[in-house]
Amino acid sequence: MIKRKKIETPEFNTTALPDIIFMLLFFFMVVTVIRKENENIKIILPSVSHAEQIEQDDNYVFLSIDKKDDDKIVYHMNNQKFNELLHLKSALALFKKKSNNTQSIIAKIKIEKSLALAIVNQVKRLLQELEIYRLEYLVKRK
Amino acid sequence: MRRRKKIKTSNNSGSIADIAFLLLIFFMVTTSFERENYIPMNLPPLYDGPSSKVDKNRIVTIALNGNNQILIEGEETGFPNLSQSITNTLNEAIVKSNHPIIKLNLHHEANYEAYMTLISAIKNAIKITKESKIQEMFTTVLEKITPEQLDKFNAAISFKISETEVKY
Repeated sequence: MIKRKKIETPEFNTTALPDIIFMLLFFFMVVTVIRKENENIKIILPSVSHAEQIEQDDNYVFLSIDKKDDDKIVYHMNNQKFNELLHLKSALALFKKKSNNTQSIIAKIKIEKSLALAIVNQVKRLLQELEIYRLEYLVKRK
Repeated sequence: MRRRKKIKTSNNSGSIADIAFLLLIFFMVTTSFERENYIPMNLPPLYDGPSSKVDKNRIVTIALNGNNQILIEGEETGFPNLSQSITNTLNEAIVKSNHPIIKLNLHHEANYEAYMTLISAIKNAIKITKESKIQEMFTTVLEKITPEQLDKFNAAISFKISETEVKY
């Protein structure tokens, strides 16, 4: 009697487990946005009280301006690093050439909050020269 | 025959769960739920020609000086009630002209955070002013406005931001 009972103990039914995991997997696959930006850039963004959350748009170029420890300015475009503004300009011009919809390129800009406006204005001027007129400044919301 | 069928084991699906788990963990790690916050701006095309004359009544001057202080029409304004002060100034401005130009005099030594704070406050003030005007004109809210009404509104009232870099 006792022996039989032990044998009959049912196993855990795990057939539904893959289904549940697949469901979660699909959920995360759908909501994941793989970012183009370089995660190594540690920029402290300015925090403001009002900002917008914008839908993702594919036609963008990611720019960042940062300051090194020795106060030298470093520019990034997508994953490329530039020390000179001129090099950034030629890279941007090339990017624009390759892009098929040049009118709607959005420049998403991440700028270290303590930088002087003169440096920011140089980059803005550069974008104007390249006829990239749509900007989005990345900020932190208070 | 019947017995044989019963003995047949089901497909071993134990490893499917493992594979799915692995993928699941990968996507969980790469997902970022927090949407990024942006302040959108449009740059004007480069223009080096002669400057055109603008009606003085249209201009609202806001300055950001080298010490990161904000001056609205020459009066110093603190950061805490910035949005409110700008909203008040804009409300006064649209009495004088329906198409005010917000002229920003930005000192080249001012820092980026102060500039962003100012821009965000101005954008918010413009939004508030527009919303109250829409309420007045059409007794409705911005979200429920029809395209025709929006065109009419934009023809009636508009705001422009003009930036100038100053070095003094």
